[in-house]
Amino acid sequence: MPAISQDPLLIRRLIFLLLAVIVVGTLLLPLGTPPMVVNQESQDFYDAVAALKPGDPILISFDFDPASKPELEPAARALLRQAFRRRLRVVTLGLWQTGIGLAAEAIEAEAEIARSRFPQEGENAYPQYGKDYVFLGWQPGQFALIVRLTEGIQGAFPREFRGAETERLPIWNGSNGEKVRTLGDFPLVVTISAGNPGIDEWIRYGRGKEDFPIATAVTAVTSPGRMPFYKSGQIIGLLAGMRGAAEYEYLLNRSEDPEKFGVTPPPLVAALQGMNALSASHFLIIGLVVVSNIMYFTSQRRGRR
Amino acid sequence: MNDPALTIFGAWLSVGLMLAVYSFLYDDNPFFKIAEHFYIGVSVGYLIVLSFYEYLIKKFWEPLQGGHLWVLIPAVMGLLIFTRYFTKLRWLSRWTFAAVMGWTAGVAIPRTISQFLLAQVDATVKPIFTVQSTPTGTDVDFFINNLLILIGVVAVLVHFFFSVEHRGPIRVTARVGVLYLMVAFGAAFGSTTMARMSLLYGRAYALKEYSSAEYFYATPILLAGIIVGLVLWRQIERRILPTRRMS
Repeated sequence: MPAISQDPLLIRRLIFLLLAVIVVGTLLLPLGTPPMVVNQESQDFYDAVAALKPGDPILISFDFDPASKPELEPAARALLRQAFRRRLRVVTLGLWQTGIGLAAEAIEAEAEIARSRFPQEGENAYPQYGKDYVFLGWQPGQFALIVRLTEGIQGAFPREFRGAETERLPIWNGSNGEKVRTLGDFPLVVTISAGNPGIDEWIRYGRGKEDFPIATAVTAVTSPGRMPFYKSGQIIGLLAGMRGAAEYEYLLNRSEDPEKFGVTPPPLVAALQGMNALSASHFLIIGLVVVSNIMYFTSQRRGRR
Repeated sequence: MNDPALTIFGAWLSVGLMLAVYSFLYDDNPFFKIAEHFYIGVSVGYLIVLSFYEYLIKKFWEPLQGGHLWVLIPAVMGLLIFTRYFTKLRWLSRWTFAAVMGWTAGVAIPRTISQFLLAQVDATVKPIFTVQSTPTGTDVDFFINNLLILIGVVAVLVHFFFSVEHRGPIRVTARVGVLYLMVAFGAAFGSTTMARMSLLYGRAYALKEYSSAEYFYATPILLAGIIVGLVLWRQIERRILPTRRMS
């Protein structure tokens, strides 16, 4: 029987097993949510939405699919919760064909939670579809669609997800008579971005033509590449992967106020719960890197002898 | 899915496919093959149906029926791409490619230069010494940050500058550039690990959720089934493979 260090398949299986034990173990143990230190980019993301006044329009683009759901859906749900909590006019769409079902489900779930905050408002409770929020769905074109949005949202999406004529929806009319026509009319655009088309296209083809503030939630893999845009001010807030979503959830849960926002729903914990598993698996990976380096240098030394 | 039976069926299907895919960590096996083919078939089928409805019906057929004859122009141009399959007519496809390339270049190049090059250069070229501090940092913070950016940009550029032999101070600067690159790669690796672990956590969470009585213990039952199946498959393979080799 070969030694463990000489059988790569055995080592690989051992690493998989260790990871599975760590992740499942942290899931099963009642560890609770870990203490959070909020990064500046996550704080900026939260502040960007918090700075909007009730009735302001916000555009949220769901640019991800089920493959990135664990990382990005918590951020999307938290963003919708904050937007509805602030009573914004929420315009949503998606650039990824395969993520439309996810987006529709998340929007409806959070709209329902928002409606239950003020039961005394009855059937007319905020948010009403078409008036306070709308899901435009998906249109072909990818980056060409973003170019089209800079020329006119209603032209790019003649009908919304449920089939109504977009032009006739009251959501475009502000309380002071101002109309939302193009991307430039939004005080904030947010993309929940897993790749391309995503934040890069929104910056290049959207901000390349009209100057509007944009914030983003991205997968951890793509976050280092997006950091220069945050540092340059082209992105005003950035949530990086599940960690960013957990920080955002923490900020939202902490700022719940029944007097201001109505009945407090169950706290957002999807990403916060994952932090224990994420931290434990990171420690394991670091340990494995250290051990494999020791093994490498030991074998080098033996070879010299 | 509001129908409870459909929800439970969905949970069992989801768990079965997840475990079948994870069984590849042990070895390539029939469960993984089934899941792999299922995934490709469903993905392609879904995209074909969606594309047919969203492109052909919504963007071509419906406008055409509404009297918008101009949609025939992009439709014909799209069809011209298929002339690639005919040697004598192949040249016609160039018209479409030329139009697409021309439009894309015209839209992309100016915007890429303004947003990805000039804006980034503008953010990089900063004064090392700042006069005023802001709420997010002091003069010392800005000084250190901007100095590190300056050193990093120069050193990495020098590292990739091959017109001069890397000797003396150029070599030292290039080595500093390598250190910067290593830090960047380390950050990228760390972030990739975080992303992969998040996905693993997502699947583990789903498996835990579907292991409850509400879903008729989908996870433990299917896990046991797949383990038994793998053991049987290994036994059968051991008996059949030598026979195959002989024949």
